Amino acid sequence: MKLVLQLATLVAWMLSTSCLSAQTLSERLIAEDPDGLAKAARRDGDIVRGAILFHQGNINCAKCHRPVSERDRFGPDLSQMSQGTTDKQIVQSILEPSRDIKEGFETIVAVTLDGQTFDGMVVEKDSERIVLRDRDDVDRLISIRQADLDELRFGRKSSMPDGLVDQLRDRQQFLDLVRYVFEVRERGPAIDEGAFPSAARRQLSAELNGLVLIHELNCVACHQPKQVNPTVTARHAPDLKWSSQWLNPNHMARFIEEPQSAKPGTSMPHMLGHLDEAMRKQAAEAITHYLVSAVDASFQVQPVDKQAVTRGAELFHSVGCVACHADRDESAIESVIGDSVALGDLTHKYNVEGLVAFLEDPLAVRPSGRMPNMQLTHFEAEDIANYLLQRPAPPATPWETDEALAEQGRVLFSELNCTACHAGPEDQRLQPASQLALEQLRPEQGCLSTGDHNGVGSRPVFSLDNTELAAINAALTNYPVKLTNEQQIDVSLKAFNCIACHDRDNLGGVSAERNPHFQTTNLNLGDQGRIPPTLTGAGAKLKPAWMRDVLVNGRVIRPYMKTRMPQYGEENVGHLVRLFQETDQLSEITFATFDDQKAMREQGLQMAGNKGLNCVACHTYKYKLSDTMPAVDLTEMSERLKKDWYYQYMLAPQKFSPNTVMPSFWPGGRAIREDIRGDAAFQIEALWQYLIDGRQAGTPSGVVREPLEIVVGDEAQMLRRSYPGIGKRGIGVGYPGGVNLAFDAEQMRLGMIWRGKFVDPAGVWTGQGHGNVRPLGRPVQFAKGPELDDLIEPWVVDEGRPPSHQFRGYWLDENRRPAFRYTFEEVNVQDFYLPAIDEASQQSCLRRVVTLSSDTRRDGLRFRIAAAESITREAANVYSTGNGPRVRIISDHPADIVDTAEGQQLQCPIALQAGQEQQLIVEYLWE
Amino acid sequence: MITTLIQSIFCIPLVCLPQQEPLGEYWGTGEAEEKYYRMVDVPLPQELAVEAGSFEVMPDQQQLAIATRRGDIFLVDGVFDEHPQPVFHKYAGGLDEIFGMAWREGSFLVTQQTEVTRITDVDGDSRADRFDTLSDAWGFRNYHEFSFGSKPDEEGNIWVALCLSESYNSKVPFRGWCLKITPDGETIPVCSGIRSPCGIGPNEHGVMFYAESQGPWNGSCSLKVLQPGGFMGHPISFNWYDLAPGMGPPPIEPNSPSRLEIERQRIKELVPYAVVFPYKKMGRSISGFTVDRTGGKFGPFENQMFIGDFSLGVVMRATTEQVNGVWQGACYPFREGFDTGLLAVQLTPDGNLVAGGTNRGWPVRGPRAYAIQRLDWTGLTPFEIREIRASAEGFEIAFTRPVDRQIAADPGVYQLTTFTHIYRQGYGSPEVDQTTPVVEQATVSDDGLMVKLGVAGRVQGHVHEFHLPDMRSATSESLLHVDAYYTLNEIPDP
Repeated sequence: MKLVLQLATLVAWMLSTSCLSAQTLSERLIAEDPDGLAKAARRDGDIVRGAILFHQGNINCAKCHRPVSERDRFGPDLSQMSQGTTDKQIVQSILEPSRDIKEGFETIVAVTLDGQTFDGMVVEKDSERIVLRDRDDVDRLISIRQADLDELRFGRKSSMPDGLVDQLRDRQQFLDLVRYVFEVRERGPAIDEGAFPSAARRQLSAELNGLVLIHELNCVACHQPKQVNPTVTARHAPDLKWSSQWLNPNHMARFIEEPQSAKPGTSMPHMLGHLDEAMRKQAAEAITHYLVSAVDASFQVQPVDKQAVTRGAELFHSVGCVACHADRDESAIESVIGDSVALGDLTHKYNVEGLVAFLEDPLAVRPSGRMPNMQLTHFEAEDIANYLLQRPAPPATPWETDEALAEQGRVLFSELNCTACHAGPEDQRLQPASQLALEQLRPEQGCLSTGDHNGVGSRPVFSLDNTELAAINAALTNYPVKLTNEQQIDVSLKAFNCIACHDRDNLGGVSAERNPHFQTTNLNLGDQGRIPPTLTGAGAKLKPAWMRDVLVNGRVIRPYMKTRMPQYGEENVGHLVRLFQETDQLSEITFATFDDQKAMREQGLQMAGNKGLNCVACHTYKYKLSDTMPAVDLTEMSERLKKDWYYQYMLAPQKFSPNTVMPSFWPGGRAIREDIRGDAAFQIEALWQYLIDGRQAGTPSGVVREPLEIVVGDEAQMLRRSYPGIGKRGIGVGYPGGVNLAFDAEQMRLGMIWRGKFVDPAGVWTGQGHGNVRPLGRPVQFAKGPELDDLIEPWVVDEGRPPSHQFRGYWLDENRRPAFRYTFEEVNVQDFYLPAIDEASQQSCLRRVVTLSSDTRRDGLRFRIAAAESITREAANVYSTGNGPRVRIISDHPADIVDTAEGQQLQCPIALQAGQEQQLIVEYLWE
Repeated sequence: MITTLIQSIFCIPLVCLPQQEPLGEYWGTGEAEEKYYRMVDVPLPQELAVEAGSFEVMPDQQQLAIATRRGDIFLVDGVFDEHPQPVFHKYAGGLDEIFGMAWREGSFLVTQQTEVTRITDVDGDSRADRFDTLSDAWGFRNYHEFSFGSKPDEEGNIWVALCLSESYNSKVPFRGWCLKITPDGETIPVCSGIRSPCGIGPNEHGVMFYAESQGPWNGSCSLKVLQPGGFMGHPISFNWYDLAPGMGPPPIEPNSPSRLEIERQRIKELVPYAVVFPYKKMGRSISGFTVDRTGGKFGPFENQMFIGDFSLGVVMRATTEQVNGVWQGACYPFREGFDTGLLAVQLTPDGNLVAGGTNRGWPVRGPRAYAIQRLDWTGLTPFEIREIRASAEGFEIAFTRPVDRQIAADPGVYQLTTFTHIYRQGYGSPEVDQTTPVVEQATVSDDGLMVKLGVAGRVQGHVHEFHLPDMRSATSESLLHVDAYYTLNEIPDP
């Protein structure tokens, strides 16, 4: 019956809410009087919450309305809004964007000859094509050939989509947002924000590209430059001892014989071009025999784990592999993305074990860091290896080392100068004698000649395309000896392909093809959550120690970014720290000065909390995630950031980080809150003073510990520690069925009982543990002092410890229910509880069995059952105890109601014979 | 409702550390250390908060028992695997912040905040069902009254170091004392004067030591010997001598401010701090320690102490020796970069070092709320100061690999300064009374592994700070760590 009623209410509630939600938020707001809404926003809108909303999540106004150059702007700069714009107009424009479109922000509708229509803003237009920015997705560019175009007309829609407001949670959020927009209009354009530069993607000059190539192809292994530029490290070839240990020798032979056919796109030059096919095959085999003879290995094809393949596919496409390598379709076939680093058919080359070893520590094989360490765990490496090797491997032809061939190979290996690039059989690489210096090389000669390579002797043949050749030739013609810091950085970023993920001053950045593989765990962060940060100005932003930690020691602070920051090796990229630090400088600024650092810090703490700028709404505080997103931990800021960068960033976050959802709390350079006289410089300084405490920074208000609960299943649960009204030696027990108690192991008494859930341990499991365990029910407290005591001269109860009682522990039964054990003088006590059902009321109750024994005779004892202001006997063995539970004495112990100074006690007199065991059984009954 | 209450609990400020001084920098040697001692993460199950407080290797040499601040004991398989994917089995729960655990004769002997408990699985279902209290002889009224228990000594006694009330007072019995609990539950007071311990156990010679934290009467963290009848330096706990008749009358009160070296001449019970860990240079909350008894499986530091640090997440080494009846010795940087605040360290049967803990309650440098990590020796021997000992003429420095004889014979290579701390009631102390002794002579042993220094101007009672940036091995390598700190309580007789 009751259930039916509840269901009915539920259905009614669902109906009523579904009726309500039939109307969207925007529809409801449009139905309101815009003037009234504007007034409500002035009165009730929260400017800080509005600022956060403006920048973040699904609505993200800042994405289009941001201070960029006109060309890149998607929406009007609100700070440039005419002061004549009324509050009402602002409300209407947000609710109905197309009602009054600002000139230049109307959309264009393009209709193609095959009847497709596209709606967006014109980004580029020339005689060849027109590029539109999609109205529904500002990140999407649509390119249409003029030849395909049928019609082009003005749309009647604003580039701002309708119904954006529906992304908000409720009317209050709308008011908050509107309030913030009022503020932005009122303070007018920023004084010193400056539009962040937007230039075309940069390319390296041909000379620098050539320089990179010369090092990537390791030309310098033979042709050392006379003037070495120390910041460019050459890319050494793999360590062959490792390769011979792990790789399929058949593959090695085939690879040596014909590198480009065994692994298209490899940078290994063809070394045997001067030999005919048969000789080539023999030479390659001989070299392989030589290499394999140096190690004790036997290559076996290994089975692939299907589940690992699935996990590996996900990892491969998210951790960053596809930043350099091509992505793969569902059958794991590589797609064709132009600049991808070729992998070739790995099943010919590796078995699972070998590929795992490589992925776990690629720098052990390829010390030059072009294949960086992706910070994979062993098991992740296994998953990716299984994924890459999922197609059937060719049967492994056993490789028997032939001593004679190995000897031939040894000679060839040396003659062909393999040792110039490869360590392996020899520990060190060997510089070949009498080769031309780099500066002496002539374009289009020798290795660089494009002619037929028949009859050219044993020189390496590189498979270079025309652009590459042109770049190398350019570099040789005009060898860049002295590079500026900027150029050195560019060269390194190119060599290590940092620019596949990061951009720096418009060099590089995530390409459109690879963009989908940059993923996030938290969509609230938008692109900031998935696209690696810009390196523009990185040296001005990060302290050198932190930068080194990230570059060299794998420190990460963006848990939401699935793409990992790889490790390239200290010797390869360590120099970048110095270069970045020297190169990137910010304009000088003057900080606010103050006398009382403690007061400033306190102000900063206030502002960081939810009654201030609410930093903790998004930022992690000391490992504790915020409700919305795991933005960078506040307690790590000062370890990372330089103060002047922080200062300028706070004023205009989007200027430094276009993708950021960080709001500006000082639009136009002026504060939106009144703290510290509303002075921007002081506010920012106060926050900094707070942040420089790092891990020791105080807890801002609004950081909420999630409630904890110890859940009782089908066995009893226990937790020792302090409970309300019991000292530190409390022991809580939660029984299946929702009956709970806390025992006091210092005063040997039942401390409290309650029904419902067991406990919230947060008070003792968070911070230093200074709180109490909190019962999750309404507890009934029992009197202080030991229950078993001398009848005539009991211990005078205080907060301390009774002198003759000793706790002895507890034993658990098969349902994990404890029997507490203690002694009082010579008396042994066992105190056991179990939940039961009271037959009369059918309510749950708590039954207690106290077992008393003594080796010697002991009488004159009493056991206190209850204490209250007054106690009344209700039935033969049932007593009511005021606010306490009713008590039923089950065993045939007599009970006395005794007057005390505080009221009355219900006591059972106890007398024990030597060796006798007595059981006192009591039930506590809830009403 | 839940939220507000917890919020209000959480907003109580932490009062125990003076705030706002920088936490302390790393040594900057982590990259180099990784080559010799590789850090391996022991992944923890998502659903468990494993705030390790004590470790024990089980007799099968396969399982690691982990006891936690949240009061659980887990039996864990797979921690010692090359690529650990541990499987957790809960043996017991509901206990109160375990900082001490050993497995003896089929039971765990556990030190939790309230008591020392023998915990046994009688019915053989791999879960504990008997919890027998061995001793709860101390008062426990304030959450900061932490209890740290040793593994049993040779006679089976567990030594328990009891933190002061609020870490400043001694409001209930034996706060600030060390008690010895015998196997049958007898409780014997050992010494007074403890402030805030964070680790306890035998030194490499089997003598019971504890790790003390910087604070009142402690200029810096230190390892101290728990000398029976002794006074560990903080006089607030003198009020319990009545409860410990075997200890005699309380010592006389130390003067403040003074120097430990001066006061120990006045107070015969005052035990000088055996190894001082200079603040921030060598951790700032030294914690659990253990002795390497692996027979060389963990590298060249056999029979030395390895000690963690809570604030900075580093592991350091220490060596001790007894001179004129007084314990003293040195500490050395070892490995930095642990992900959380370390509370406990344990050597594994394979000769690796497991370290773990939590960041809970105090500022911790590492980025994780709790973690267990393993240090695996890679088999490469770093060029390190292995040990410094005092000699009649100066010091003897042992190295892990032969030194460059020419460089090592140059006395100028050994940059040596000294300092001490103010011994006072106030919190901590700056380094004071600095001196610069003169290294007059450096004699290299035939095997190149030892250098004997003749030093003029050593100062008794001072920390002697060695700085050897110019030292080179026979193969021209620099020292992995160029610093070491010797606490010279006594100068050996010729």
